[in-house]
Amino acid sequence: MNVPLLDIRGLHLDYNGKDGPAHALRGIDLTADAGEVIGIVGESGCGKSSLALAMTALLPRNAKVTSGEVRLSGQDILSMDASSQRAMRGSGVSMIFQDPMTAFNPVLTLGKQLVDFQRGTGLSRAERRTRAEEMLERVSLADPVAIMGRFVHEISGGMRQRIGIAAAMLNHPKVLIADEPTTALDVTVEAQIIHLLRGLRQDHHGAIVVITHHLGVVGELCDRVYVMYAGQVVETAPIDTLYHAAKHPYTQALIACDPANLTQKTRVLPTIAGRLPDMRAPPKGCSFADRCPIAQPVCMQVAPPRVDLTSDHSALCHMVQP
Amino acid sequence: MTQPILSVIDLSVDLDLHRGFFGKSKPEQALNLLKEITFDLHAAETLGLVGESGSGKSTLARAIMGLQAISSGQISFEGHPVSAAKISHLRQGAAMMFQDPIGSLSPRMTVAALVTEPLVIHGQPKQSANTLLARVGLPPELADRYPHQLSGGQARRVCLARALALGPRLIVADEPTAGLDVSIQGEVLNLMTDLKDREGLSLLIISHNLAMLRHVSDRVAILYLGRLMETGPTEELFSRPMHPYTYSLIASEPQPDPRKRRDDLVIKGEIPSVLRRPSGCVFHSRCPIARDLCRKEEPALREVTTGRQVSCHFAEDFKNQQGERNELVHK
Repeated sequence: MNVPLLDIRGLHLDYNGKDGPAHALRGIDLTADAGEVIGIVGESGCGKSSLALAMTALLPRNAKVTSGEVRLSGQDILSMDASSQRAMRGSGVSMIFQDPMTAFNPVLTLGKQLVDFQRGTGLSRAERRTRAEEMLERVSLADPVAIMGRFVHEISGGMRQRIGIAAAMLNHPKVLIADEPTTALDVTVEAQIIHLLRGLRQDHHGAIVVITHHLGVVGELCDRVYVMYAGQVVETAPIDTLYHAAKHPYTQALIACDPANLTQKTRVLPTIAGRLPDMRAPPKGCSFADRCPIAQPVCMQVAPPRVDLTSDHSALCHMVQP
Repeated sequence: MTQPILSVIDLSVDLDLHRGFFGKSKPEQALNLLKEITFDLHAAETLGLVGESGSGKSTLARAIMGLQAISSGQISFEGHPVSAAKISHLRQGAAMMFQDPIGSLSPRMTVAALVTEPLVIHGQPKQSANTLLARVGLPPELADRYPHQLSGGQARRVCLARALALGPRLIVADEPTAGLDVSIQGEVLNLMTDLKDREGLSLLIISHNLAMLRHVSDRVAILYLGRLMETGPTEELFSRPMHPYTYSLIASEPQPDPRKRRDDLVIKGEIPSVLRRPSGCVFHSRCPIARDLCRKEEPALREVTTGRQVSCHFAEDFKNQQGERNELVHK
């Protein structure tokens, strides 16, 4: 049995605050294999950004992993010492950020930063420079040499995100995480970035993890999807199954709410009534029960089981039959 | 035909760039943000204004609200030209919801003070904050909170309550759902549609979210680099776009259904800077059907069929080829 490239098991994460710990992640199981593009979807506050931070071992000081592990090629990255974690970032895991404007240093040229990002590789400066230029060409930027001399504020949003992608790919990471990679972009540029990411997977041998709230981005890019709600994965399935045969009521509601999915013009848009539960005291039953249209008394009382529908489709729900 | 509540005729907005870096005068450097914008908004109608960043949509909203000096043309609200002398009429009859809901609320004022502030400014009889909050579906407990204690959806509702305080006939909403989750986006828009139906409000909704505007607006206007590209009734415009830009925008929307994944790219490049505006048709640098004429001559906004205005030299050709292209994109 071969080991998945990224293997997260039973991850529980708390944030300590004044009013006691908030349980941001509650038992996350997730795997990603080489060559796969997986999507993590959820609304704000569902824990998807905390999960991304755990994958890069960049958790803030008040975060505490209470149980579980994040394994990259079989190694638990959360129990490594700080210098091994630093070495792991870049070539093990790297990240494409939502806003490339703030992801780059404004007072250094882009070229200098792209060269610096490769400092662990042992290559000479000239070699690193050549590799940076090749990578810029790879993300379809016309004049890499000129871009190397520019500052981040001098270039357009779409070009900036292309450079963000080039920077993340520089050290050939095993896992490439894209956190809302197109949220800050216009729709025509978003289409171009999606096109680029799709092209990159051909020669990227690792896994790509796309984190987004936008079902459209997932639909265009991903092979498999994890839907998160209140710190848990409520449903996971291959994209086609998820979109056409979602079983969890939250997934169904999320798909129904996206105006892009309404074929008939409607004046009243669907919504999900209610709010996320307080993560300091999550309900003992199902977290979605008080917003769920098919909730039964048992949903309020007992935590739902993970029901396996097929080998790669499961849902966290009392009402789903295997 | 009844008189439109808002009428914009040949509106142009230029920004003066004559002050050079060392105070040198460069009078030829006038930055043209909007040019010859013409449209009407009728009572109880929702107009969706679409455009990418840098297209001038927020400038247009600010000009309508009298917050931006205009260079030529005319904006009339209920038959009166928008001017400094008549500003009070405009401010009581029209209200604006700004793009950044938390940033547009004073951090030092409570929600109760914020929603009743317009009444104080215009010397109107006091109303209870709770009544105003109830109209937008907010509980009275929120009255004592400060803006930083509100969620994104709540802050939008407070902005809407503020906008509604003076009983306006028109609300200009700049990106009313940017940054909201899909379930909450629906709530805010349903509330606006509901208020429009109950109180006969007219809405001008500015957004780049086409999927959303398709459902909430009656008519849509597409803006690109400060020019109107196309206007028309929502359904018609979405099902049969006549401008290549409108078509590109619609085809660029990511599809949640993996079976509808598209393979080819409909539009290349990015919106050019207003400082380097292309000659002729502003869209020619990215247009898939651009010809020589497009580089030389700027097309005027003209009525192609009833109620549909397009500024493209080849709108008729484009319209006729539509079937083939749809198959190409959504195969």
